[in-house]
Amino acid sequence: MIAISPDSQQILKRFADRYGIDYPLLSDADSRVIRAWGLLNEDIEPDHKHYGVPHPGMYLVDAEGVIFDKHFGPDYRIRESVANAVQERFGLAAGHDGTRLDSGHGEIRAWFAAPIIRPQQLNLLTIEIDLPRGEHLYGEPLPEGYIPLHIEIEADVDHLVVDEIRYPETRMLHLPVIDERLPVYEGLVTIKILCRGLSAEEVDIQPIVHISMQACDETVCHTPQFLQLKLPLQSAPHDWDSLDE
Amino acid sequence: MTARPTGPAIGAAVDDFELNDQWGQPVRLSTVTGRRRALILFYRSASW
Repeated sequence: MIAISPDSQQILKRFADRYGIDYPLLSDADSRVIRAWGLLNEDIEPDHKHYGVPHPGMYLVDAEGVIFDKHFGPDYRIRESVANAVQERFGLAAGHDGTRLDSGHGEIRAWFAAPIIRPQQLNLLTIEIDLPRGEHLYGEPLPEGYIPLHIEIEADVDHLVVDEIRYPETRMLHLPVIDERLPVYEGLVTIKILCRGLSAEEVDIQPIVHISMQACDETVCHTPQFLQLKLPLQSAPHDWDSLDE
Repeated sequence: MTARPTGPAIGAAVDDFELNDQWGQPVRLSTVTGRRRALILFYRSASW
């Protein structure tokens, strides 16, 4: 995700530090990109101090630079709730404050949609395993001796509950060396875990994601791996004041 | 008042651009999209 506004780099740096934003906040100080996209708010007079701001909205752009979805609606201010608005509208996470590790068979990234979870609030945990070309992980059901991809979340049961773990679809792959067809995951493997908060206590939950997997290619299976990622997540009570903003 | 503009349409190819981020580093759109998708959020201000 990248966010663009006419703010100066100093303002953006201060804002990013304050809210722990690690995705790029781009400074379009003279509004040239805002103008190039036809988004300059011309209801504001040129001599007004807010001249240069865009009509706010979001675009989804694919790897070829083509827009495949867009949403313009109520004014979006960047704060914690945008993470969840993005989540709702596009079914994506804003990549807020997650963890990554290099498994040796692709990078693994994990992040919650928002850094804070409140009682009975849902927070989507997304795990991405970026497998190298030619390698796969196994889904289920599997014959004896194979290790399927399996995720578990370890967290204090008083603060966090896992409602559902959604694995992606597998593909049946014929493996010539063993002459069998097995369900596999390939490429960018995205697992979505629906978590729910339970407590209004302000606590550092520190959930741990346990991943067991065995990366294989067409001829050989590598050593099974049992990996752990610790994630930042805080529980907090509901913020009734912000509803009035 | 006329309808608010909403910029390029779905299906439009966007021109590459480069702007500096909060750390003063140049960020090019084509580097961000790379082999993955990107979400681009236009917003009014980080200070009000």
